[in-house]
Amino acid sequence: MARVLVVGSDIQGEHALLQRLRSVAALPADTVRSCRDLDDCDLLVIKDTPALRNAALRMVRERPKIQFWIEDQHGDLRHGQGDEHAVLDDHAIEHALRQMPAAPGDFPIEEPCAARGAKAITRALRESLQSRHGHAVLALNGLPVLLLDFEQDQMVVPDGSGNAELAQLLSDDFEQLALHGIAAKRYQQLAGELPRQSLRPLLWHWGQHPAHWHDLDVRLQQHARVRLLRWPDFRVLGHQHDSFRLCSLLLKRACSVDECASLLDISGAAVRAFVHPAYLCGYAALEAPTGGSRRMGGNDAGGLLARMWRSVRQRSGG
Amino acid sequence: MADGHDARRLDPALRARLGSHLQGFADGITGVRSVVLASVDGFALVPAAGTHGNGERLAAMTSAMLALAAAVGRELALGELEVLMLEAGEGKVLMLALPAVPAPLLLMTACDARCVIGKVLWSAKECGRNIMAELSGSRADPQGNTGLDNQRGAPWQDSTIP
Amino acid sequence: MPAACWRGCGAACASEAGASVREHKIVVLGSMGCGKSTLVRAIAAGAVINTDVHNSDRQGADKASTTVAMDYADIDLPNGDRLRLYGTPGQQRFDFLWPILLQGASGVVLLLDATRPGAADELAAYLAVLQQHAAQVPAVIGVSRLDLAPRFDLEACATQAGQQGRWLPVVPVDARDREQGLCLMDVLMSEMEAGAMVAAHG
Repeated sequence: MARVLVVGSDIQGEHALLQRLRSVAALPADTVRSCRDLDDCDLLVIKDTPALRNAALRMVRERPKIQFWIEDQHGDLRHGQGDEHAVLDDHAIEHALRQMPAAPGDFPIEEPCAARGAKAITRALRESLQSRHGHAVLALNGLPVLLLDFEQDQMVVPDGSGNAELAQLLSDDFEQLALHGIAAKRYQQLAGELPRQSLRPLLWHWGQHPAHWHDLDVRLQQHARVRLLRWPDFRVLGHQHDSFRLCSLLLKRACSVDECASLLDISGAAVRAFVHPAYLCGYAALEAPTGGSRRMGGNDAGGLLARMWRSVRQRSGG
Repeated sequence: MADGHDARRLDPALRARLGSHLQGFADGITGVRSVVLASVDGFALVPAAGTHGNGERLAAMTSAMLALAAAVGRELALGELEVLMLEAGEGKVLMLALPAVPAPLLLMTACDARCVIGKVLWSAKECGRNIMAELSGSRADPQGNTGLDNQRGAPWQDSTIP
Repeated sequence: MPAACWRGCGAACASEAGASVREHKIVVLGSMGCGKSTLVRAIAAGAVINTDVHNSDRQGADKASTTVAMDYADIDLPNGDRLRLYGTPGQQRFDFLWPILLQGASGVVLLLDATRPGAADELAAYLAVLQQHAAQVPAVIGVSRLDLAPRFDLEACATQAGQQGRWLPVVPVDARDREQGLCLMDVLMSEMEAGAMVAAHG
């Protein structure tokens, strides 16, 4: 993305310049952006005055990666340093802008949208997470917000935000999100040198946000049974004892929320708070409710031992 | 790689002499089925004398048995473990801990119902003394042969492990 | 005095006082040097009976001593029951002890050292031991030293463990850390609890 710091112009002048750069390079709006931070910009453009020239030369000498142009009184752009003093024509401007450090935003998503909105995206994510096949990009208003690698169970976050922030964004804007399947090569291109992170912790975090689970909750209320398909990654479970207990139970036998709550003596809300992220991550599936009620007692040797163990743990501060 | 000693790295000549002590012991008493000399962690140090049982396996079992016995001994503050004796319908097993450095060596002998356990125990202890003498560089042999031309001495006695 | 039940079979045993006391036996398996004795010590946080002797096999594991019979520790539970922990010797030559120690086990911890080159084969071997001697006993797999083996595939490990017909939890653990050892036990307890619930009522 071309982050442009404009110095010496007023607001209108700055806007006009940016607009000109965008139209010349035929790049989408957000790929040529105004920037306020010299250490964060790709291109510095100054109005041509001796004072600004000197100051700018000093600053870019310390920042060799920044391109430096000068805008003269006619609006022509020239290189600010080096031997080239010819006016930059549109072709040169376009070439320079396209050369600037690439970010996913620079590459418009051409792949078709595979799913849009909460329900469809949840279904598509679950399928891909279970099959561990393929790559995808989650986009908001045409801009990538998350790159997903289902094969390696990894992700790349283009704008570098943390899990908590991103999970909030994904939850808030779930209905506006679009999921596009992409090829592995494309994933690498979009991801560039950005760090690869583990995917599941973000998804789990995202799944813990309460919004968008209405349909699922309705089914759960209608006594649909939850079955766990495999143990979740322990790095997402953390040290949540009740989560362990739910996993152990639901891996052996599908149970409704009420059954879980009564068997394990935890609240229905706590069960649902586990089921939501487990469902999004593809660890859990729903089955039809059973006809009759199946009562299982809790006062058996295994339950007693576990309770005794937990009480020892609590006493020792565990 | 091991620093310090490896109790199993015996000089071949020494190994042969130890083997002959074991064989002598086995041959000298009626009813001895097998004799095994093992490291404290269960490796057979010389091929087992006698025909009964798998020497490697018996070495490991002896190690486990004596370690458990030693734990019982510590629990009861009985001092250093010396002998463990098993008695079953068809025979008996004696396990001795020989006081080597830095760790004991284990001598196991299995005998059938014909054997007189007192004799076996006495002979086993003598075999143990002979073994210890070999390892310390001279034989406890009335003939007075020094025998040992191993300049280094027994590997574990050269051990620099603190 | 009633004969004590040395096998810890989980059935009610008569204690000296005559009341029923349940003994629950937890067995820790795993290859040499993966942290079994350390784990038992960390969980028990008290007296552990061990059978450690001088290690002559420094290539097997570079440590001064090794377990040749078992580690033993017990934990008293508030209701008078007792938890018995048994650490096993890891070397193959002591494999005759594993069925003995596994007999009557209520739960099994299988420790894997992620840095060992043959970890996948070792897992397969121990799973086979479990299948033969403790097929239905609740079990948890603890994987240690993951920080030194970032390429270790936990997912593949879980899949391999799942081939036994039941999903075993695969938990990253630092065997030296008491809290993590206790967490591993928490997961095992969850498995034991759920297993008993389902077994009792189908």
